[in-house]
Amino acid sequence: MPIIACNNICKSFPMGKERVDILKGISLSVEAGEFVAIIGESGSGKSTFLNVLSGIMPTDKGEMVIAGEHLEVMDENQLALFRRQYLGFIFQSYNLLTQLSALENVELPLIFAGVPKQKRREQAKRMLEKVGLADRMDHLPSELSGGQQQRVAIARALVNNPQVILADEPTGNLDSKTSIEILELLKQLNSEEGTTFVVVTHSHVVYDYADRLIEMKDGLLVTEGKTKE
Amino acid sequence: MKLLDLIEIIWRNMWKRRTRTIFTMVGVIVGCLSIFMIISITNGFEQYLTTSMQEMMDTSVIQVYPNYQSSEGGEARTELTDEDVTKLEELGLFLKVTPKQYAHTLVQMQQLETYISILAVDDYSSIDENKIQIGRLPNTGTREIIIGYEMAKELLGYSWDQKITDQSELENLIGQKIKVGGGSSMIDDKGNKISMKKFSTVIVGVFSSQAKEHAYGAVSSSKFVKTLLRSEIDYYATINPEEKPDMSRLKKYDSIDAKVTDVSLLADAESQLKEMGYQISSAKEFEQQTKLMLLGVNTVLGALAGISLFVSALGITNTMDMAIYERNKEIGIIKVIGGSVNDVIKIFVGEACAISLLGGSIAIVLGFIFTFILNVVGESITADLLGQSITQIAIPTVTLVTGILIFCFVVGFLAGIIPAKKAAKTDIITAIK
Repeated sequence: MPIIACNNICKSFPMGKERVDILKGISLSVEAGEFVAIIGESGSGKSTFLNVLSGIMPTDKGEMVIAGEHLEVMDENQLALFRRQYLGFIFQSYNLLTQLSALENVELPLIFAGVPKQKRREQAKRMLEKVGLADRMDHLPSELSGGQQQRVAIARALVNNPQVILADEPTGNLDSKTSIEILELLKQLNSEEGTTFVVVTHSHVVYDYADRLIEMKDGLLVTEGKTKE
Repeated sequence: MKLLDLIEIIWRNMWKRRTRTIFTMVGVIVGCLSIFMIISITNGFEQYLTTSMQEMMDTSVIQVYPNYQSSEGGEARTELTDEDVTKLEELGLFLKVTPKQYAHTLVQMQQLETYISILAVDDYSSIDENKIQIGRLPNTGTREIIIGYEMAKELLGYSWDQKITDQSELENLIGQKIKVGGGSSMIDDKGNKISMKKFSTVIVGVFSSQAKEHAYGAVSSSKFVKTLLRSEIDYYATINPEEKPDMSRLKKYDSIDAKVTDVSLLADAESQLKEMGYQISSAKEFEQQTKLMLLGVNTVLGALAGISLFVSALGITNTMDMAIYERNKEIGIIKVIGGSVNDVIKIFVGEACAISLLGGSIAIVLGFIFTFILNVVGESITADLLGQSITQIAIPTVTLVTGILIFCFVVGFLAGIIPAKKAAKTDIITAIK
């Protein structure tokens, strides 16, 4: 049974007096533990698809099942609870809270999950050690490099042991050397933790790390291929 | 999200924007402090009035007066006689029914002249001897007189707002001969001066300042009071020979003190007496009137202070509303990592309540400090001004403190709920872009 199963997902946005179709009936199935990269040019609809996939953006039509749960029928509180339990997010611009230290940023999802302070601190430390930031835990985001900030974001995404990580251009703001380091880290976590990764990108570097490449064009999935074959 | 984590988040957010938080809080402090002081002062005033009244009159005593107005319960009792005394005794509600008759007359001591009400007393055992400052009670049936403390001050040449520094001065009054009566005179057709008769009497005692019921008056035997009343009747008979002298005045009482057997019967006894057509007064009635009057004062002043609290509530709403725009990204991140709509509402409402509650708490602490200062300063000022010190000008109560905290919580909640709901509706995608 796939961990992600989308069927005929459609999404449109109003533009003036008309509506523009961004997603035109996407069907996709992702197995647990897969590292899937969705590639495509700007405006192809890949970020919108990721937002719909996470439940942040409602679909107009179609069925979306993640870990056996139907997202299209959930209300906002149910979606929040679902994201807390099953999903982790990595963004291009890291989206860390600037007033919190690296450790506190990683702890944040566990606060909303109601994990006791001692336990969540241990979990967060362990995760920061795993992403190679054991010596930067008390630093504010402004005191960290771009790559380090993205590592904090990765640790935050993984701290509550989600089954699926959704990453939107995770290397978009990084230089090529740091991009490779981050992708290697993601791949390592994918292998070690068995977490499913869906990465949206237009960077070619990701090709070497994904189990499967899916290309999007004009709101449709046009090609699929396995990079390692 | 656990409560302690919520408190930590709220505290961190408030600390981050501490300047704005403090300014917003100042509004709450001013409003709450005003309410705290107004209610504390009226509490103090109420207690002062009630205590003074209780010192002046026995709380179990109803004072019955003639009723010159139309009565709701039927016939108005325009005079009090022995018949009324018997009627009250027959009600079975009263332990003791004491009629009171006064002679309102002029008193002269050397060059000093003043008016005085002399209470007629047959049985001196009804007077508490502990309330005598100096001297003794008059002997039964004599013209001896015991005067009140304020009257003594007046005879010693003090004004009402002055204090007797040396109490031994009062001893000078004991044994002093004074003239009682007179005060009215006229020239008749033949050119003769007709005056009200004067009587010599001697001061044998002075009541203490605690005996407030006698403060400006005096007590003497019933026989002497009747003599004074008779001289008044004779005077008016002389100047109006065509009118028949009204001898009934000798049998009329100015008031009747009715002491209830049990204080719980007071309200019942009061209503029965009103129905019978008497006019009454009691410490309880005075207390009720005082409370009613102070409630009015509290309502007016409280409403004025309430306006400043309302303005501060708007300040909180404005602060929280601005915070939504500033913290748009933060709200988006919280929601995307699993914070629910309720979590966002809790954070925003919690912050508004915290600003309000903290402001209220600071106001309460300041209120206690101001109350302490006011009471210390007020004690010496009232001692100088009134001749007796009021130790508690302002009295804060537990109810007041609890009330302010509950009120602050409600104000904070109402001020925070609209911005909180707005924050919870934040679009995640727009926020985290």
